[in-house]
Amino acid sequence: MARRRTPKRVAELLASRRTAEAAEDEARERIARSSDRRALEGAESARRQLESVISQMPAGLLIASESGEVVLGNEQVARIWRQEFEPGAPFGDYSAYRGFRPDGSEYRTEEWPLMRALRNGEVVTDEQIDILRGDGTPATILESARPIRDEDDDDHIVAAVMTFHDVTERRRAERSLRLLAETSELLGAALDLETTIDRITRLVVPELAEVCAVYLVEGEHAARRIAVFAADPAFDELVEDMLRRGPVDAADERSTIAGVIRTGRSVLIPEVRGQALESVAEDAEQVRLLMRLGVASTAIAPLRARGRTLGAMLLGGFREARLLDDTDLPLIEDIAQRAALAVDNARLYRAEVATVELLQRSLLPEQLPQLTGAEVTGRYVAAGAGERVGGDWYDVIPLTSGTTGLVIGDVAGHGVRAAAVMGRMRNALRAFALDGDPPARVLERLNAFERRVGDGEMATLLYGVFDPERHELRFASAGHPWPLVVSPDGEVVRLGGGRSVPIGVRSRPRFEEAVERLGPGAVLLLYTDGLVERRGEPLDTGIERIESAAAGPAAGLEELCERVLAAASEAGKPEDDVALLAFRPLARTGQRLELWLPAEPESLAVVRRRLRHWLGETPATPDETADIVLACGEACANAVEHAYGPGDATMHVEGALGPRGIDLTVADAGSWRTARGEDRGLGLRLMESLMDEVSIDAGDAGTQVKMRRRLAGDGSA
Amino acid sequence: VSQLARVTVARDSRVPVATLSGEIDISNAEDIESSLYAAVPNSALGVVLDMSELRYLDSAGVRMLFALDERLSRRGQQLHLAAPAEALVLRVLTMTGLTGSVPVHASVDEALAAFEAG
Repeated sequence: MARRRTPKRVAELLASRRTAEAAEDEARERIARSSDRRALEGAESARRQLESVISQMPAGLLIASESGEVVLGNEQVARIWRQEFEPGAPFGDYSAYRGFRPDGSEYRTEEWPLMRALRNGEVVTDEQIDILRGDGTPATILESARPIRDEDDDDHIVAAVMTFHDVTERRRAERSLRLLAETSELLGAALDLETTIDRITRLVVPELAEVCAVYLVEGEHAARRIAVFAADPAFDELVEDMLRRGPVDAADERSTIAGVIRTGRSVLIPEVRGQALESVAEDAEQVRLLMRLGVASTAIAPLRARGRTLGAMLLGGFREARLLDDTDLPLIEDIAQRAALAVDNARLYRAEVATVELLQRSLLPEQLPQLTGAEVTGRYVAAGAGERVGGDWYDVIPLTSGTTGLVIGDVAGHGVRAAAVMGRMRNALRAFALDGDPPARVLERLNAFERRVGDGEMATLLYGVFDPERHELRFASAGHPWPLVVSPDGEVVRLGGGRSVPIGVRSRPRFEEAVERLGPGAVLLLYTDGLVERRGEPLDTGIERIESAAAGPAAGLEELCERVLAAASEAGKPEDDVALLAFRPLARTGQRLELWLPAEPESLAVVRRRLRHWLGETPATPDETADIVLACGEACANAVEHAYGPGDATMHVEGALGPRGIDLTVADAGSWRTARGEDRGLGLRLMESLMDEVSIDAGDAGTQVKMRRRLAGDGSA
Repeated sequence: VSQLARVTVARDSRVPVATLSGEIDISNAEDIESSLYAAVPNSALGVVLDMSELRYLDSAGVRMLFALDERLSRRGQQLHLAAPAEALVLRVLTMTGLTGSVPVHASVDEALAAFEAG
């Protein structure tokens, strides 16, 4: 191409401090003003000046004559297109200059802005065109074009001028920034694994490539294809083909994906052909499919996070003008790295969800214990999964004194940490409660314990001890929402006393204690704030809602809990977990005795006390009472000795006065210990001597000892 | 020793007299045996246990008495029980056969007299 250089003119032009853009505008104006090609040729000096302006413009410029011949082009044309440019041929002959629309379709000769301006008089401003440059690399340009009309005949278009800018770098930078920002956003969101991966594939398609597949390492030897995405239906067949296939063998030496996962290094193949095609495709069938879809480029980047390769991200670029090249690789690696972190976060999140749920399940009583003279039921409703799971809990502790400890608590915060703190507090409180301390003292000890071993965690909780003989509840509340009592006639009362600060906030707070009567048939409702707290609503409104739901005719405990939970969820989805405990003392039944006690040595004295008390109301004489108490004591001692481990084992003592005397049943979850040596049989021998009938039923579920003693006094003897 | 039972030892005679009160079961039998054994110095001929104030004694308690008797006899010492007819635990002592191997007297004085005689 013959370039006409006029350095002096350039210096003059620069000296006149006109900006290049202004020069470009002027050139376009001048050409537009000139009446026809002859006028251009005639004014030699004007032409030289013009050409110097044109050649120095930062933009590429082309002028086509009426016939469609390219009569002029500046040196930027060759520079931007990276190929030789020589004017003088019809526009249609420049077929080596290929351009594509954003949707991938290629420009035909008459579709270029220059030709549209020439043939239709169209004025085109900044049309974005993806081009394939002479060296095979893609670029993006913005093209503008306008027609040049005859001065005398406005309908007559004598020429057209087109200018274009190379915006490749700017667009690449913008795209990188946008993609990286979007990938980073994924990191912040706590999402499940599938959603995270799905989002990643949708981020890069169609921005960077037409097809994106994510592989995750599974076990030691396989990489499973988790997601494949293509926006363009033209690739549906490939997507389906990829999804249909099983995991990639990570040890396969031939497979490019396996190689990336093994080495942790990314691979870029600008044109997938021949050998490369076979290493990327999984079999001959897929090779054929890829060939049918056209020339492709591929980039495979490892998903590495926290020092581990989690998998790989594969991009397939199919569009000619947008094939992936080395300049794309840093961005793809960067996206893959962030994506890997997001995947790893999602993985950890999933693990946390499982851990928290497991923790919580293991910390909540699986089955509430049977109680002496009372019934109880508990509910736990999680507000959300995983990191939203809270530190709420309830507990029911049969105490050796025959009383029952009731706990409801709420550790501030969520997730594994809150669940773990909850577990610690629950166990510490259990231990202090089993020592038999009164509620305020238990809270005092728990507070001191937490201040020593905890890390500034806070909890509100209520601990109460119900005495079935006095029908009294003694309780202390560490800043916990008010317990409610539903009287047998359906009236609801808030128990306001016994309140102090939450656990963990002060070093030596004084815990108040209150005593309230809890008669047979009344229901005590303990709950955590998730039940009553709703956004944008005073706490009192929430409590009143529960109060009115609980009010009304006495119901079964299950039904009452359902009623209360239904009212709470009608007011909106709880933002916090809900723990709910309903406890109801039962009326004493004179003819019967029923005791549920921990299978511990300390319980034996309680059994004797309660049994003597009950027998005192029957016709049993003092001697008979002593015999029955001793026999029962022996059966219970055996249950205690055979209890499985410490803690949750309970024993069940039932006494009934019938026409044939006193029937006693002692049941436990252990197995009857057969006598070892002479001494060990003492207990059984005693029972057999003291009672009229003794039978021992030792099954898998436990041992049941049934005994009967006829009474002399009531004629049953 | 838990609150359930109490052991009071009097040493104003050559043989210490330990008075048991309360209830003895598996929860406190071992502790009581320890304190009883400790209450008998090497120089003593043995010990008298006053069972009259004991309200409850189960097989664990009886086993404890058998064991105590065995330990004392290895030191050449004797165990005597004082349990009057109205003692609540006399029945269990009889039923378990303890009365067959450990001498049971109607009163502490009688028990001490048995030592003097021995």
